[in-house]
Amino acid sequence: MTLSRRGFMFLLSALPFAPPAALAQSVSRSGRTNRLFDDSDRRFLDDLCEQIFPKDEFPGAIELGVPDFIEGRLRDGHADWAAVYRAGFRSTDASSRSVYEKGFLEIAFDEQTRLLERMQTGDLPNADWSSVPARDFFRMIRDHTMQGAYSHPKYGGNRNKASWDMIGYYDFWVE
Amino acid sequence: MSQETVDAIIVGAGASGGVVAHELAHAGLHVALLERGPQLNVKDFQLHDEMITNSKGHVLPPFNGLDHRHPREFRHTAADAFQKIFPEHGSYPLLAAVVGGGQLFYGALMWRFLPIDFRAKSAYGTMEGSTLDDWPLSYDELEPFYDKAEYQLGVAGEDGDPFAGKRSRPFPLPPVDLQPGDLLVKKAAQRLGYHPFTVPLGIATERYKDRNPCVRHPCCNLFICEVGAKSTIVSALLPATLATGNCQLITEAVVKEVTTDRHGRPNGVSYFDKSGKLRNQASQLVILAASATETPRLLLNSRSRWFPKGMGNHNDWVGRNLMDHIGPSVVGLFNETTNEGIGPGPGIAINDFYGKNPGFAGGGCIYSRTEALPIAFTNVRPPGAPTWGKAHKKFQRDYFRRQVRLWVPGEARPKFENRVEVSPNVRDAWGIPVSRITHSLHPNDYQLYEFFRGKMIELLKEAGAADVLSRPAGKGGVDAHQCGTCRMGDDPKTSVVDRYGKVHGVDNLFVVDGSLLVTAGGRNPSLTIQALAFWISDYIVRQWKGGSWKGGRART
Repeated sequence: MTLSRRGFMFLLSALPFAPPAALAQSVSRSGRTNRLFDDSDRRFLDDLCEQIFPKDEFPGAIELGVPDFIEGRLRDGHADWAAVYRAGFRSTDASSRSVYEKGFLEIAFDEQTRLLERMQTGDLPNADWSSVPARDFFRMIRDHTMQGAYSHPKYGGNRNKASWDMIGYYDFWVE
Repeated sequence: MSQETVDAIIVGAGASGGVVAHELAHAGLHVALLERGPQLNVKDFQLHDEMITNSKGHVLPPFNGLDHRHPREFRHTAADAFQKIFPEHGSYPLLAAVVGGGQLFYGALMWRFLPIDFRAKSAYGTMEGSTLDDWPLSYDELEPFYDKAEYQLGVAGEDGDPFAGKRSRPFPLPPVDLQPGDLLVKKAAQRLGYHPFTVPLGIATERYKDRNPCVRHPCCNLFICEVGAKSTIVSALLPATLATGNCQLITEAVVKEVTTDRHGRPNGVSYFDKSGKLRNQASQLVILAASATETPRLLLNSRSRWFPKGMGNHNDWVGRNLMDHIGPSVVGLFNETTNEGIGPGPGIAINDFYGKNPGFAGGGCIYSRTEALPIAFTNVRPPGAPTWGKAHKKFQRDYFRRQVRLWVPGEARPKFENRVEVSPNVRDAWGIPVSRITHSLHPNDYQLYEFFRGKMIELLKEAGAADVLSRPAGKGGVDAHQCGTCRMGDDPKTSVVDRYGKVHGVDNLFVVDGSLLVTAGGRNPSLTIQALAFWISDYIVRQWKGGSWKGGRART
């Protein structure tokens, strides 16, 4: 594939999960009262997103609302993906226990980073990833985090357009 | 709707169908323009939004009317098994299912083919494994219709390409302003002895007829233009078409087949209406403008005892020679700002390597783009560079506005085995057998790709790029530049339609879309498709007024 729209895609960015047909375009603004994940799962989501898009001198994923973005988008029509997320959280935790003998939420940030590097390449015990392949799970959460960090703030991420300001992207329709 | 016989049915309200509807309705013919998708009301949506463009793979679905009701099948070669595919898959040849068609989302490149493209076989010679041929018409014959398309739709450009064919008039609109990165490429091209010029764009760079001028938003390629500055049939032709009172636009009408009378002559189409009810619409003329992957499907699905292999398919050429472009995308990373944060994106082109390179055949013009989109740019990284984490984030802010992308719509060889068939297994939501697509590259395509990749790397380095990113060619597949599947030609044994788009052996059935193209050329195809639509419309109107078809007298 060599068309202009593909030219951007130095990495394959299509997801292994098909979105349902004719999903409504509406954007839910419901807050944290209507959550998809329980507190424990939400902490997995927070940590994973922050690994993909960490805070430096600019806001990280949590500060940008990326986990809210993902929960919101899943809740609004991708319930099937939510099950994959939950399975991925369990597998992430199992791998952390295999490698570090501690749960994923208990290991240090740098240890989480090294675990994700292995998740990205599939270099983790297969027994821990029986429901979803580690590489597929990694790519899903990587792509969704990037979408949350860099999409229009109305979808719940990129709060205050902080990521757009960071890179010098200016959308005068939003102003 | 009325089930009265109309003068012409046009299947597909896209780039070509919209032209034919405009021309026929203005000539007084009563036209039914059928579109499988809806008509968008742009006021309902914030369309300058990367999340809901037709970029594949976002958590929100593409907003182009295509969804899971429209599956297909794909494989590269006969040795592979067909895979069922949906619009979000990379191998799905994406256009759109909305009034306006894929052109609503196009990058607005509106150049003419070069004279050499119309005599490709004469210029390049025969090649093993390719069905390369000359076109049944010349550049000079099509030139008045290129001119008409440019002025009707609005094309902004500049004279200055020494390799272009002659023009009867200058461009109707002044060229787009260049970005700093375009100027770097332009100066580098001049130093290398090339002949750079500003790309022709289907964009109202200033007020044109009733249309607003371009507002320079960076979301242009892949986006619907909210202000109507992008030249499409919706912005330029449809309002006047409907105002004639001679054209009935029927949306969400999914055509099942071309129907025939008891003598086997086409007499209309059957289609599923918005409510899913199967209807017949009778017509004197049937004009197919459904795209190079849908028009052959419709012909092949129109089987009867007169057309046991599908309409126009006596010689097994319907759906053959499916093409797209093959060209590398090369990104240069700079240490200075290349884009002021505005669109539309395309800037400088060179034609110096078009169709005269040793070792391989085919055309291709290189052009620059400087715009970037935040999510898409997260996937633009050097090989081995981090795809996430702090380093990835730093790269994003360092280079988002310091990059120039070069692309070439390289001319792929037509191959007989690259084709559209109808699936015996998969049906769409209306129960109609879907397109199944086979596509792989010709050895010449790989040579062309590597040649242009080398030239583009050289050009970007000369322009001052600190690093240049590129990758080798893939295995093929087609997308928005799909073409070639109902080839036009003089010989019915090696083509599907004649030089006026009329299906060989059938006097009232026409193809007017990208299916017609004999070769893909080395340039984006929209203007050539629309020029051909004007050319065929001119023929149809002349024949109609001359009384060629029964009852065929123009009502005015």
